Amino acid sequence: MSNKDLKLIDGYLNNSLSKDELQLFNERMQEEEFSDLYLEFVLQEEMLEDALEGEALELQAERKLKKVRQLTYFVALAASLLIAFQFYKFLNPVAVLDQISGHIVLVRDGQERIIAKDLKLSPGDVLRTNVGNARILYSDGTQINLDEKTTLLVYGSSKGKKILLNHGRLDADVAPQPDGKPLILQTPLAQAEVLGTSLSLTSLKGESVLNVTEGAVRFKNLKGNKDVVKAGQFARAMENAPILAQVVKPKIEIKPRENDPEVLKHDRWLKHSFKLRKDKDLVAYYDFQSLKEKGSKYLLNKADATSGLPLDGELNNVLPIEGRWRGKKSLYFSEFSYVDCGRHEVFNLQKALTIFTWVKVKSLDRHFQTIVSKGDSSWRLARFQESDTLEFACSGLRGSPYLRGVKPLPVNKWLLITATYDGNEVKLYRDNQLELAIKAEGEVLVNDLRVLIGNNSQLPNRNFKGWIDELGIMKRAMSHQEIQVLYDAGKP
Amino acid sequence: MKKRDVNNRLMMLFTQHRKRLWALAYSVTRDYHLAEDTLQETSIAILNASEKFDESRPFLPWALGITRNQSLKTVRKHAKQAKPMSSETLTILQDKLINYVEDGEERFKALKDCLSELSSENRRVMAMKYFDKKSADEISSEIKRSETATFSLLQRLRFTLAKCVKAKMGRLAHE
Repeated sequence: MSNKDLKLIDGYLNNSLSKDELQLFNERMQEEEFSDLYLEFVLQEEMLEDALEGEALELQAERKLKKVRQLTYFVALAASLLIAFQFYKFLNPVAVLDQISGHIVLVRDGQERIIAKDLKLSPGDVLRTNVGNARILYSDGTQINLDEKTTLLVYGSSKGKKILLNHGRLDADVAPQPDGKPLILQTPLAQAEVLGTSLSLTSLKGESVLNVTEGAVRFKNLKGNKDVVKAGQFARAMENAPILAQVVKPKIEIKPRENDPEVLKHDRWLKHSFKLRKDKDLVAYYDFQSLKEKGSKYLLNKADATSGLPLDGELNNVLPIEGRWRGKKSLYFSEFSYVDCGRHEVFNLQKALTIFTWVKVKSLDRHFQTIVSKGDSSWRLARFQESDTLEFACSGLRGSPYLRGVKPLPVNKWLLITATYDGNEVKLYRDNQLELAIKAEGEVLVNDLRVLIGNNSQLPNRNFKGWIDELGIMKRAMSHQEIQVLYDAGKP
Repeated sequence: MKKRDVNNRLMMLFTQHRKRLWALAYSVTRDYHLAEDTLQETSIAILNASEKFDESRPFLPWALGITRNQSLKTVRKHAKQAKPMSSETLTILQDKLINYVEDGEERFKALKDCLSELSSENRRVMAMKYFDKKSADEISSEIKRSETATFSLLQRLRFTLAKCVKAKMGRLAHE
């Protein structure tokens, strides 16, 4: 073992090799003896943290003592030691299993063992509660209670505490964590970053559910989509769905059908919806009622005139959720969400058209966030640039192909947006009111691009952030009177 | 086998081979924290790929493949990281890790013995680096030496330990 070889290995691991040296390192790794030495050196690096634990503890205790002496040299030695010890404990959280009931299994270094109370946990330990409960206690007071039939993996380094919950449920009461070192609770589908709060996290097949009872938790899925879940809220992480913090609703009081306003609203809307879908000019109509909380793949087209055509929308990373009222379904869209309705020629509407939809904006954080579009070279309804207004664009029209709204879009409020072109005018309605109209004529350009709800297939990354509930596309311009009826039937 | 049972088995195998997976992750990222994060991502990727896991085939080569991909992903995410070893070298290392005969306990004992042979001051410098995860710059201000001198000291101590552990392991092999 020469120092030259060690320097080459050390240089590689410290990112300090030149290009030629890196090439030499790669060549030398083909030699058995050198690659053995490399592996031994790397394994030594891995072991040094554990091997130096005793030394580090002494060192840290000394440091704290020194600090305490500097600050309070006149305090009795016994008191200094106590303070140093408490301070040391605060800075060096060590997790222990301090409460156990039933049958708890620890897997460490691939070996299973039944465990006893007050066991110190090490990074990489797996805990499994079969018919029992256990509590992990950190020295800062953070408690993690494991429910029955729960399996988790304990991580943790100087960067903070980490737990991977494979399946089952845990309740956590988390003490305030140091800045930049949140407690990370990870499931196979999501990650919760906790700075100090009370929560429960459940990991089931296909979903992870976070309930926050105190404080706030940043919850994100593996795609990176995230939301902040506050006290009294929950969020669900599923594959192919965005994360949305939702208020935990109290149990519904069952009322007689004829006295339940939510049921009456639904009946009123349903009656109109059945009538609407028979309109011969309706090209596509998505009432969103076919959506299930889990497992839906398509948004069904309910327009009678085009039934049988491939116009059903394929769901992509959207969250089916309650819409304008109980029993009304909607989709929540976020930065990766869209519904792909295909590129059938019926969507090429040249002479006249109407788009109507109920939307609720969560945030306007990308330019041209799109509600529905046929690429960027035909018709589209989107946020105008980075403003808080809407744009209804119909490429190809003479006069002005762009109708830009004048009223700001409200956040967290359901709105009926209707955009029409009748060969003479382009109009934009909000709820039952005309917002703006401009003269235009000619034909809207056609293209071969896909109709997307929540994004633009020609210029992606324009994902809408919010809720959409009911959307229709018509090959004629609806009248103001028709829009009034639509609004009255569907207002929340 | 039910998915839950497969996952439990995978997690058990993951802990059993954690050191080897870490060695690969560290070899690519060359950063202790990034290696730990990569290993965490790897454990999730392994669980997500559980349906592809063939029980009749060994776990380690499969898990090393996943670790390799995750590590390279991590390096790509952190653009500041220098170029890691070549793809061929990574494959050599993977093979080496598959064939590596587990000697963790003896190696750890040898390392502890070798550490005890260092001066108390040098052990503390090592503790600052490997336990507290301080940079050479931070250590240098604590021990009141220049950064270059601290870097050299740390390197010398690593080399001393490597030689000492090798000698002790060699003696053990002959006993």
